[in-house]
Amino acid sequence: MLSALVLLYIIATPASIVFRRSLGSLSGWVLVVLPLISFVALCFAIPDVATGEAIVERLAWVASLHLELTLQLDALSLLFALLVTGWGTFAMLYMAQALANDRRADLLFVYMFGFIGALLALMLADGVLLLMACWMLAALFSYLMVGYQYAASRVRYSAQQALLATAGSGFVLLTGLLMLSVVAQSSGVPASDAYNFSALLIAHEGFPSSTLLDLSIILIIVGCLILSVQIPLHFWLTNAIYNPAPISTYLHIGGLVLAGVAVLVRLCPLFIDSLLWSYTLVLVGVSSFCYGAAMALRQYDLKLWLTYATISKLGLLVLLAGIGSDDAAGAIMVGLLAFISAIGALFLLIGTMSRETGTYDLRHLGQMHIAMPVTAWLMLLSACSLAGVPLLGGFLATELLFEAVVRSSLPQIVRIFVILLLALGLALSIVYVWRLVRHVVLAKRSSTLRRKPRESPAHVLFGSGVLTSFSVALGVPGAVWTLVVRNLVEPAAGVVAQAPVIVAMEPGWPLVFSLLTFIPGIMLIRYEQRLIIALRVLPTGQHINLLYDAGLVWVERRAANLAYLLQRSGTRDYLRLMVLAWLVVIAGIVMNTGSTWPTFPEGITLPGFSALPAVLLVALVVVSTVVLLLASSTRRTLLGLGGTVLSVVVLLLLAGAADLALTLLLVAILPGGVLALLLVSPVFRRAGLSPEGGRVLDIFMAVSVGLAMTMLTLLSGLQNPASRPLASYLESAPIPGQSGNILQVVLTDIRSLDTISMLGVLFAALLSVYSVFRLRRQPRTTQPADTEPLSQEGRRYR
Amino acid sequence: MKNQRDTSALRLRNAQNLLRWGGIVLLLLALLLLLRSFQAPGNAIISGVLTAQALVLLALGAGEQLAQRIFTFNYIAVAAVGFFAAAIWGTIVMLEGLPFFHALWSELSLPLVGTVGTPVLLALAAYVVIAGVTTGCALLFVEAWRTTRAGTAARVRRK
Repeated sequence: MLSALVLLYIIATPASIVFRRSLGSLSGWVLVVLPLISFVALCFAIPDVATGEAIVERLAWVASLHLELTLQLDALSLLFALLVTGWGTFAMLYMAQALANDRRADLLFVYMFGFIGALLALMLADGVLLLMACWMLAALFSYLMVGYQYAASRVRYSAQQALLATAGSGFVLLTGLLMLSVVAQSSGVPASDAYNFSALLIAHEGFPSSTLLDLSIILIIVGCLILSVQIPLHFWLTNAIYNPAPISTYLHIGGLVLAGVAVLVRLCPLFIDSLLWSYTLVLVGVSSFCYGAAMALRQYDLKLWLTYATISKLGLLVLLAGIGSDDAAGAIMVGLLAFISAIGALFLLIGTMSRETGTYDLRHLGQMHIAMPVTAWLMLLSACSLAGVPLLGGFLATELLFEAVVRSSLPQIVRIFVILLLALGLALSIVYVWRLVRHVVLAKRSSTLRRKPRESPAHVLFGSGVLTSFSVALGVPGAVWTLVVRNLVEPAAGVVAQAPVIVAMEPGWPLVFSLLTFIPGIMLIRYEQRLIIALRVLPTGQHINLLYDAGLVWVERRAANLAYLLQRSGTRDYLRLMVLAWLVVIAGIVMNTGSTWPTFPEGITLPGFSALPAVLLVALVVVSTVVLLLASSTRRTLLGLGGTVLSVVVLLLLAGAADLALTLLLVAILPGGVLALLLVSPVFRRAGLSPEGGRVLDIFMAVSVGLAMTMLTLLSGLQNPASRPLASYLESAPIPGQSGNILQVVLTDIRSLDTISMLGVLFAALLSVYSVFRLRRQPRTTQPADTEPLSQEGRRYR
Repeated sequence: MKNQRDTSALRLRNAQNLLRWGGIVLLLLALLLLLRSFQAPGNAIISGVLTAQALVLLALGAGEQLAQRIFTFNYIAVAAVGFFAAAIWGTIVMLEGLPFFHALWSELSLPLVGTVGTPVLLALAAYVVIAGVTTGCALLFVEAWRTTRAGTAARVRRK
């Protein structure tokens, strides 16, 4: 089932590129079906998975390298996959109606679609290989979506930044995971298992603590935290939100950001004993929580407000992943469901509201509950759930969070410190939600709006309504709560804790704490304006952005210098350099392996092969090669070339290799002639390919390359017997369809992977030849209007 | 004088005929080598290269219209299609749970080709890529050569 689900996306993404023109603006409505199907299919898997069983599907990829693709659906990946696909459905629905009139939007649907598929596969991946492939695919699609309105240089800047941040985080994570598998292999895990998370999880007790393990922990943390936007690596998200609302919604909440948390949570049981892991995550999580809340309080732009609120709530999840106990695992799952659905609903509602009012600025709204009652009230409900108002989903998550912190194994002093910071952050959250209430509902109606806002139709509000009610219903003990907790939350938490987990709200200190935090929050509301002024001292992350810009400029300059240094002479010099380098490498290898001069094995006779004609033909080869090397006219060049090739062909025929003789004849004679004609033509004389000048060097190099090739062939052919697979293939019973033509069988069956790599190389060669010949000849088009450097441009927008 | 011009025109026509027929024969030979490649000497790579040679000869020897068509054909697209087809045929066997590019042979036997299996498809795809790539590159060279020749001839005439 799992591979079918993933395959569906793999097929549908290119297909939707093909059919998008004929579907037009309908494509959004058509494409929404697939996320919905996968969501429903995953829902049917809930009863099986909730018992603790995992559905595992293995696909052999490259069997000879022990590479296989493993898709695993346990309770944890099910929860994340449901979030991704459920989200995908709502976001696609919203996009379909929001962008119905945009004629260029059809490509956007395709990107979105591929993005959902990549994320779904990422959540299901159990191996490093597949995880990385999906991570990079998701990064690519997010780049395409952020840069969708690429005419504006700000969008291009933030798209580039998002790509560098997400793909860069992928490389950091990959390095960390590879180091981890090295650690695992050194403690006795077989190589085929060292790249699979489930196998690592079983074996992780035996990992010796070493510098390499610590380094891998740090790299994994950095990789995940870049993606889940924790300070100080959060700056790219605030830049990336400048695009149509539903895209940023899905992109940042349902998608990428969630992927960072998913990897963090999945790897959490591996490192639970590591102090480095827990202290780093607790520190980063709690400071991101407070910083995000404080920054959200400062914003007037609704999108930025919500972005910082998201950073803040993700900080809580990171903190819990650092604690990693049973209680923390339960709190993570509840927090994911409550916060992510509230944030998602808010993103959709903010998009709806700004479409009606034409602004994202809080100060221009007011009395919205009269103009757009449903939107405004849904917005307030979600925001209250986000802040943790009692009887809503967010409150439950907050309460479980306090419970996890109080019962954690951290030292007393750290626990008190964390609880105080959490209280501060929660108080700030209450103030920033109060600001939303004050500006959207209580403030006077603004006269600056371009038109009178009207309530959106029901199908627009459907998605946000469902999400809001889910986030609210999670807080009320009842049917929904029991259903969700028993079937989704507890099994998923059980996977993280590796033991059965019971999630329930218990009366006690944690409940008192979470209720008590309301008092400073409500008290702070009175000092809102002073608080905003006081919070201006906080850094915005601009310094890090400046650092990023400077780094980018530095890299560009170094690259330009390097290119200038390396690419100053002509093709002929590069060719000589390459051949010389190749010769040096070959000589080094031969010397290092200590190979001796190959001896011709005894007892090999070739029927019909006599010495005299062979010696004559070899002499002919030598003579015609000398003629070729010394040729001064086209005619002599052709004569020399033809003589060489023909004598080799006859030699091969004498030795009984008719196949090779045919190949050489067909491949060498005609193109050789054409090539020789072309080489002496004026075009190449200008391009620096002609055989003029440096002829002695060329002769020397030609002779040495020939000798080196001969040596290599003799060494590899005579010293080792025929390689195993080929020999066994020949010895095995006749296989249907095979013939005496072993060359074709080797090409298409035994070494098919090499063949397809060769095809790829050939294709790349064709593209480069085309670009050299075709693109150079076209007249240079005029430069686009804004040519100022992007990094300068981006610096202005904060 | 008139007689001399006639002779050169006749010579040109003969050369073109030779090129054209040579091209057609080579093309047929290439197809034969490809189809028989699982039975007899020959393989996808040679037949691809041979196809390129045949097309170059045809382009030089054919009339204006056909030459135009051969020169402006999109060889990159052909090569790309072949490449993706090769990759996709490698993944088809994965549906059966077999490793990437595992060879599967059917019972079906075609008169010229022999038994049909996934390696035959890979050979076809490889032929398409190699023919596309080599023809594309060769025609670029030929075009560059022709334009330079024309330029040189014009310069010579001007002198």
